[in-house]
Amino acid sequence: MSDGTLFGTLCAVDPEPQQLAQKQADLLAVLARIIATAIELDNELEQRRMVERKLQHQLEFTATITSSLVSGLFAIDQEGCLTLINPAAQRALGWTEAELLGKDMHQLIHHQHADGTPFPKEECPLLGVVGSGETVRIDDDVFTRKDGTMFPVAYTSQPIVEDGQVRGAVVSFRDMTERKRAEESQARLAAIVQSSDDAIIGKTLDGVITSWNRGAENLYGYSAEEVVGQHISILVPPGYPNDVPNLLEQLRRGEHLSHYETKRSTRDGKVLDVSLTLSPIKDSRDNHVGTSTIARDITERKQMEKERAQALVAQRAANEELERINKVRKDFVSVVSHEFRTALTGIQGFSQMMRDEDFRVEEMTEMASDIYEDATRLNRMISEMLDLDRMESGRMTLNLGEVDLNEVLVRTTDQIRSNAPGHRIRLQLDEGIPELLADRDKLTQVVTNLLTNAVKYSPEGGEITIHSHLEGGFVHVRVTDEGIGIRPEVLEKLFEPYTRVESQATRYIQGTGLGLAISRQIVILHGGEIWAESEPGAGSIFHFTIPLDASRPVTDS
Amino acid sequence: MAKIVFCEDDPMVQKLVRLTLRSTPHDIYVAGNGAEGLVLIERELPQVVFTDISMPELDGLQLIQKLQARAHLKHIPVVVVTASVQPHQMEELYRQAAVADILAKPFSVHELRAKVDQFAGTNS
Repeated sequence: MSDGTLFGTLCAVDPEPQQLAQKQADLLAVLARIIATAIELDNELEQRRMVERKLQHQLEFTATITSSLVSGLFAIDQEGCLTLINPAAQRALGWTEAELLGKDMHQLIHHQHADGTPFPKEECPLLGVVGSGETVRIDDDVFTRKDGTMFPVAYTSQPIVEDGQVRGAVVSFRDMTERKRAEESQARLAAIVQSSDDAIIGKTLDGVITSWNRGAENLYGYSAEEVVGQHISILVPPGYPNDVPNLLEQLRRGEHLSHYETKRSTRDGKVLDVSLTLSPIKDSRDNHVGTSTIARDITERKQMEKERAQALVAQRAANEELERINKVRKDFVSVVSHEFRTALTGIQGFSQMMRDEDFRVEEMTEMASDIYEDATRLNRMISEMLDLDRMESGRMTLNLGEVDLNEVLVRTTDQIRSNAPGHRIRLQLDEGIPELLADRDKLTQVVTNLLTNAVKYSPEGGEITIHSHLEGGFVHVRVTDEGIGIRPEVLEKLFEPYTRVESQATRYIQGTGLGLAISRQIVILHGGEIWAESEPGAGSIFHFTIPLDASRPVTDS
Repeated sequence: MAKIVFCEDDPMVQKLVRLTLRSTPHDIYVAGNGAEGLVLIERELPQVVFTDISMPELDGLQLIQKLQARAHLKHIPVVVVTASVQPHQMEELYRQAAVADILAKPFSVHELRAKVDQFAGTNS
């Protein structure tokens, strides 16, 4: 062979053996070399064909790949002129390969920024690659289509290196229109969620907080950083039932809860009434991947509802009380007018007869005193009503002076005795009682009232005892009778005005029924107390105390 | 001459009734309440009963019911003498079968005598 290796043997076969002449042998040697050279050439050709086939395959393979790529792909030379472009890039740019081949790509598709300002070629990162030999990746740029419209792109520009020299760049890009749109709509959605006044909280199925909007921050006082990663049950106020596990269970079952009202606590421990709307979050394959909660503070509404309910109850109670008072007043008016007419019956009848008929002097005297008594009765009732009015408007005042209480008891007893000769009234007085500083007339009114009652409610001949004694800084007076006594339910309200007119059982009794209420007011104004004890059928004991000096508050010693 | 039972708890009105009717020929029986009145009515079988409404023990209306419940007493006319007369109460009273008439307090001497004459009659 040409390199001196032995390739094979050339044999010349004769019909009869003969010795080859030197000339013949040389010729054979030349022939052998020619044959070897021909074979060598043929081998080389075969190898070359194989390489070419391989290259062809690779080129086809590359072309298939580039044309099947979804991303746009093009190659440029050192000047930025197009050498190759795939179909995806042609579709995206609106140009055909034929239109672009050899054209300056920057000038055609990359000459302006997104805002329309020019993009100088010197600053083009696509071409920069050619100078630097470094791969460049840009995520937010725009390309311009043949029709002049722009679209957002992300691209990579990679240098083409041949024999250690950068010969150009391959640019692959993606149209980001859809993604941009998706991102924008997501951002819009996120902004809506973020700016919502309602608290919107994302959680895992296990209740771990994954998102927390500003509404949630405002409502609960926790910042997103503080609570994301924490369990939602941190919002359950201490001392309240933890309803979170149950709610999560319902959400895991795919249930949706609307306007679920419960209690939640803020970061400061304030307990809120909240209305929750809870929904499971599903991914595109319908799997539950989490839960969302929309919470609204309804504390104020709850408070208002409560207040409204309370106000209603109070209003109803006030109405009932007003109704009761109205009825009592009406009854009172009818009782008082009854009493007035009864007293007037005597006055009118007796005076009429004295005027029109003849009577003996003694009879006339008796009639005159009867008239006087009825007139006194009327006057007393009017006084009591005026007292009631003063009492109710808080205008009752004391006219203080020196008072010998025992003397008041004796004088009042004498007067009552003369009107009720059938009753036995006994006095048990403590002679050591000093003079009081009190309102004499009003104390007389109290004693008269208690004694009149004792007489009124005792049978003829019943014994009534009046007892006085000094007790610390007070005089304690007791009036005991053996009368009909007082039922416990009446005893309870005995010193309230109008008590008597409210009970049918006691309505027939003469007078306004205001006596005890007025007596209580007088005693209280003096700084004393009044009370009664009684058993029905076994008589009653009325007590009152008066401090020695009603002008100074006295502490009970 | 007739028998009249008068039920009245107010002592002054009792006195006035006695004095006013002293000049009439009738026998006046005065009771302090309805219960006493019922005893007197049972005993005397009067031609007419005058009664106050508001009285202890047995009030005027209860007395009327008692009279109505007794066959031999239910025919006796009852004149109600009351200080608490209001129009609706009048109607209510008149609706009671046994209420023959109403005498409102304060009454004049003449009114009382006229009512007595009307129901007791001067000739009975």
